[in-house]
Amino acid sequence: MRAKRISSGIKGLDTLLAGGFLHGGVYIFIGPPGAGKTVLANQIAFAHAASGGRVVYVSLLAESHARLFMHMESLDFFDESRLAESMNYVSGYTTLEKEGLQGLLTFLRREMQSSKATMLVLDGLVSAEAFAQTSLEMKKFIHELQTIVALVECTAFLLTSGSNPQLGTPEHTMVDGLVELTNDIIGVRQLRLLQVKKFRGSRHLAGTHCFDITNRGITIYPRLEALVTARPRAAHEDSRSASTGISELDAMFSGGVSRACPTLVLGPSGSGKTIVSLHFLAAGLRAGENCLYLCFNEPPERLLSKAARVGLDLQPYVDKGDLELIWHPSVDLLADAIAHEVLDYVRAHSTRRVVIDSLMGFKDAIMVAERTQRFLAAFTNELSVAGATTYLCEETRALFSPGVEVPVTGVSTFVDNILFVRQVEVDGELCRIVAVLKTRESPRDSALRQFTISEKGMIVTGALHDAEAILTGSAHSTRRRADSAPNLGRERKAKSRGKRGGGTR
Amino acid sequence: MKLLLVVDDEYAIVATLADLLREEDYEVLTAHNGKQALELLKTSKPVCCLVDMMMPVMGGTELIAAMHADPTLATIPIILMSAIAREEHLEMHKVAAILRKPFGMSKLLEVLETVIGAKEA
Repeated sequence: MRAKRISSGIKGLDTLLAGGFLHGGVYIFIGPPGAGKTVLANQIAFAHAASGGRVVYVSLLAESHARLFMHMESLDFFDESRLAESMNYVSGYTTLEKEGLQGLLTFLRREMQSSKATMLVLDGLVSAEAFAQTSLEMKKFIHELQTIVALVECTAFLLTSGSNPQLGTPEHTMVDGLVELTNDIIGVRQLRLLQVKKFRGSRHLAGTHCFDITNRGITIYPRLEALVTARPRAAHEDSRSASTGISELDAMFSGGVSRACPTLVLGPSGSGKTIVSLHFLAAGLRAGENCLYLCFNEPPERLLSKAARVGLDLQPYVDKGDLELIWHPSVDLLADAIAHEVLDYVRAHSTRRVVIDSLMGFKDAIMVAERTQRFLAAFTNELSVAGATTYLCEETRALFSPGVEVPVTGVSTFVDNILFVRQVEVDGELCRIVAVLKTRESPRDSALRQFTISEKGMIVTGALHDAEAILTGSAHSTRRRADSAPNLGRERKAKSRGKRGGGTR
Repeated sequence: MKLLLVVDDEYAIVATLADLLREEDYEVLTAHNGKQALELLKTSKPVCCLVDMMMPVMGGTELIAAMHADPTLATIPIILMSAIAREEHLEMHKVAAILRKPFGMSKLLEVLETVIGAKEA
């Protein structure tokens, strides 16, 4: 028979636990002071009470209940009307001091029975440990507590800041689960992490996952890479390509970009990546598709006025709810939080087109450099699985440089298309060019094309055949030499294309 | 010396309140739950009881109900001290005063004097 699950009331934690804690289990929450153990336990307890459960919260030399309530009052889950009704906060320290561990066990059993509790929280396990002379005594305490908890049909959470080094951690081997909360400092930023180190009788998402504590209480963001399973990418029901919103560009992609595939829009600052992306969304919106624009740099109002300046009036779509603009200024962001926010929206609204502007915004928020590529691969995969066709904007570092350098490495491995835009100087004049560097699912037109941006939008004009080294920004005309040697231009172009292929990786 | 009974399960609160009230020339008895308090009330007659709400074994509301049901204890004024005490508890539990935790010593003494003073008057 499968054990009943007890929801933690925290969506992210239930995801880590494959549905919740197992009813009748004894779990330890361990972490240094300030890590969030008490908030976590209280949030779980209030959620349990809200769903009809009954809770006994026993403190052992922890903060007074009055102060505890005062600190929790600002948290959304705190509901004073539950106190003394379905939640009883009592102190067990006097009993522990007078009667030791055995007395505490009797006390806990009576409290659970008399209040018909279905959940027990013991806050301050470290104080109980102080009354154990040997590690065997501590093991015995945990063993007996497990027996009691099972008999009275309760689920128990024991909160501790650590163990007596002389005793070791005998309780860790005994309990059904161990959840560790830590506070890491990355540079000058604090990163709160939660890890399910042990969870008997169930699978769980291993590794660390970040969380934050706000007025909503604890929100846990399961590490995106850990959530991605080997699900096949959903073949989207609509097998037609998604229009880029610019007919000449559609032609370069042999009819548009493939549905549910990510496209990297690459180019230096000011090259037209945002305009290309706005056209892409406008095409979707005109076709009745729900769209989302995630931006880190420009606030929504500025983005909308930018769109209006190129003839794209997107405000009505925002008003109708067809276009969602999510703006996160690049300060102290959690990449997993943003990714979950985007994915939740996309899944809830069956969003068909997403623009991420830009990947750099995520790179700063990922905080752990080695995660970047895996995180972005997982994120784009999840968007594709959800059926969204995605543009990922990415800034190349220099306006004019001899190579094409991508700040977020390895991106080209998980995108299906690469669209490159930039301004180049040809014979003393600046011109904008666009090129399709890579397509996975359809043939492409590999010519470099000039384009203009005006109040009529982005207009792609003819192919640029008479300059070389265009992608690096230091183009020069080949016309004079081409005049004297007609085939040379084409050979040089091929050479320059070979160079850029390597440069994006 | 006026005798007070402090009933609270939180060890530190009971110990500190007892010390501070003794310094204010009260005689203080302490109990950690309602059951212990009723035991003490068999042999002692405090001028006032300070009672917490959420306690193990026997909570504050049960203790107050038991005191009201006993004619020998029904006249002892009770101050309900709890983080979850609300004004409506005054009427609901027929107590003399409410002290919402956390409270300071000055507030406690003020309430105590009002309650004991009212009784003496």
